[in-house]
Amino acid sequence: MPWEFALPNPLTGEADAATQPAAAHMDNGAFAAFYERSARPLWAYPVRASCDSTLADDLMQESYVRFLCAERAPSLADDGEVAARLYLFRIATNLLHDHWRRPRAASIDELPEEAFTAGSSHAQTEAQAELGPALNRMKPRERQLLWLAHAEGYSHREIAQVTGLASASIRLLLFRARRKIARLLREQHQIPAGGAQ
Amino acid sequence: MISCPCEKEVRDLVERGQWPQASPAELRNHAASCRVCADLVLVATAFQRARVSTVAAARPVSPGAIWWRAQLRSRQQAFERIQRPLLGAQVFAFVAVLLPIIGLIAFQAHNLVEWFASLGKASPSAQLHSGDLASASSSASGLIFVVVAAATFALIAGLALYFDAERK
Repeated sequence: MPWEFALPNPLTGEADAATQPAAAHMDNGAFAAFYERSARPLWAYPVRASCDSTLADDLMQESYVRFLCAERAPSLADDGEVAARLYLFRIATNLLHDHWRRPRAASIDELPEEAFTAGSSHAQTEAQAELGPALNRMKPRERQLLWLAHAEGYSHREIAQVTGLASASIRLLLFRARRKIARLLREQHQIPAGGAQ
Repeated sequence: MISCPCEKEVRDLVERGQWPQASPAELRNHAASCRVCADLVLVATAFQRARVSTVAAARPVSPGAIWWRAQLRSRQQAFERIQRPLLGAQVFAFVAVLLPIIGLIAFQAHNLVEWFASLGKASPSAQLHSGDLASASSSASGLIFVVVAAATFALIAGLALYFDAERK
């Protein structure tokens, strides 16, 4: 048999398990249902981390494509949806890092915050007006950690899986980031600092 | 770093949307006086509201389009996987043929030079003796034999490499 005929046909959906990992851990219907449940939260993550909705569109789509093509991606049936979502967020995080590294061959921590805030086209909502200015003054990694912890509700261990950072350092980084953005939010909204500690 | 024992409880209440209405009064009083919990409440509520509005603003493309792109990517990757051993076998075969030829030429260089020199000196009909003709033809047939043997070896080795790579 000529080797061309061993390849999967994307139009008809014919697949060979050895040559098509996308079909190995998920079928079309299961993926559609999973996508409906997870696409919006996944899109929200790069939007808030990069402040660029166009970039977030691209990153979200690329994350799903890589997820489907990955040979070692978690299976919904065996590993569960939480593991699959964490894997997706991990891919999105890596893509964000790649994007930030591309213009300048430097660590994202060395780049100024302004470099990541330009080009926002996201609709100005009340919540964005509340959080946006403070978030724009945070470093990209701080935004990522804060979003994963307080918007997605991930634990320190899960955030470590997504970001690739050591689990022990997440707590300290998150504490500092939270303190910083709380101060910025108080300045922005003229809220007096609470607490005596 | 300062931590508070109430932090987790406060965080759970905020994430479940139960802060402050459905939270105990003593916890609310504590959050008013604790810097860690006050920061947590301020930040977590802002992020929860931002998440709701951002998720509502999302306009994801159809899952079919993503699935289609993934199929295309898988097909491309499969194609590259198949091409890789072929390319390797081709490179190996080329090198396996080229190296013996170069070695043979280097090894037989002085004989070839002498042979070409004798061909140049000899006139076409008068000086060509039967002994010269016999030695020239035996040297040429030896060269052809070695080249054919090297090509056969390269072909077999290339095929073996290809099937081995494909099996892996």
